[in-house]
Amino acid sequence: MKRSALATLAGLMVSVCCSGSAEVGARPISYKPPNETAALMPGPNLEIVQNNCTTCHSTDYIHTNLGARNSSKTSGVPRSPK
Amino acid sequence: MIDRRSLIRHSGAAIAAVGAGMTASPLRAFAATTALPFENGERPLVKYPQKRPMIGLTSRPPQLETPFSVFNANVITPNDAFFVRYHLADVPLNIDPGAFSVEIKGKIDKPMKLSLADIKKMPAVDIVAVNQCSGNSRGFFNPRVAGGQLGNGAMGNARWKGVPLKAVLDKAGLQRGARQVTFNGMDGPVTDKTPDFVKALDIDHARDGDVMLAYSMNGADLPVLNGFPLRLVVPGYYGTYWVKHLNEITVIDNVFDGFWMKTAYRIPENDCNCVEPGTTPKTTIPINRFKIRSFITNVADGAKLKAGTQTMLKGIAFDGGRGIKAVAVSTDGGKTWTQSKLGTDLGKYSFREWQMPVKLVAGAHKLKVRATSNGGEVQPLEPLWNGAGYLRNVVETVRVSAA
Repeated sequence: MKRSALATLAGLMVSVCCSGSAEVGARPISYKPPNETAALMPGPNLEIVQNNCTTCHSTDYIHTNLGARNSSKTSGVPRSPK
Repeated sequence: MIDRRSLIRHSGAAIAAVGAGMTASPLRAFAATTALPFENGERPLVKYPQKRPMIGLTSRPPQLETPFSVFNANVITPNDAFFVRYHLADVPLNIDPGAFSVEIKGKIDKPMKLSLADIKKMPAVDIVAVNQCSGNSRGFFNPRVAGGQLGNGAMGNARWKGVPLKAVLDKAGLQRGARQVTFNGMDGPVTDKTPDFVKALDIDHARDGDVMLAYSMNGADLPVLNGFPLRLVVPGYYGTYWVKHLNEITVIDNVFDGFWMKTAYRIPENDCNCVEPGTTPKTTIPINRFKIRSFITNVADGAKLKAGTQTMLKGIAFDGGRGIKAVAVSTDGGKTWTQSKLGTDLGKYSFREWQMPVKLVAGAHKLKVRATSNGGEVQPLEPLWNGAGYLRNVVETVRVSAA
């Protein structure tokens, strides 16, 4: 379910976070994670990776999975649902 | 929009392209890095609001692993060091606790929306419980498997406070035929073809009194990235069930068939929940309770210790809810074992501390630690394998040298 009373405005708001002890009814929280810095360098088929992978997750996930070659075909485990 | 067919068609080429496209040093933008002890284990240390520097796995969605030294510092994992795992990148970042509510619906007599204030008015319970990612330690799998390449830091132990799910379900009035309860949070997918992250528990489990809607963690509000303002706590169960930003609870009269139950987070249906490495199980079941685990926390692999003097080894153990009966330590690679002294019992779902003095002669040693639960479960001496990289619980080995 998408949130109703709550908006996602990733990256547009300044962080005012967030004492851990705030009572309920306290101020709304805006959370600003650090900017995404991992990026793919130019190379063959770069566009394929960008189109197929980076919509859903940052490119650091791709790098750490290099060497883990078993796909859903061999492991029976589904990946990257779309 | 990307369709699945094109993803499958191009995935081989995509892997090749990444190999060509990445530089040798993808972490160059980060001031501090760490190395997990497996292939491609280099990770940035990243700083997020409400968190201390953590081991960064992915930045979108945010996924953070706890530096292992944290587990040696305190049996309770501090909120600012607790691991973060998301599946879908539309993470709620602007949250108004005053406007928040959780909807209870489905096969119940009284559909309702409970505000955070409503929930806090109900009698509260607290419980110390480990949360651990299903894929904690996946990076150690051999052969390696796809997925988040985690070290041992996707776990943590906290004191959770909230209301029993049972109390909420009783308030709503279960109808005849209620069979499962599904849980959905505010986080969602970035494409409409990606299944939303929804999990399910059987009705008896949901009503066991331990499953909790938690609004507090270690005496403070939940950190945003740990599910503020309300999350499901399923003691003894892998973290996939601990739905964050919980705002929708649905009682159903069938077995939920959503992607994250029916297709993902499945384990082999056999006694070891394992298969021969590289093979596929015939049948599977949803992942469920933690396998028993234990760790040495105060001596790292490769450490140099002083020979002939006493060293106090210490660490932690936990299981899926029976509680820890014993933790044995070996300093000779598993030939002989000695029972350690257990620390304070914080409950059957908590980390249990242990310690044991050892005196090593000069030379190389393999320290091993093996826990036994009150239910008789023990850790395997050799790693078990499954294609998803879940459930790792092999007896851990720390190699040290004494001089």
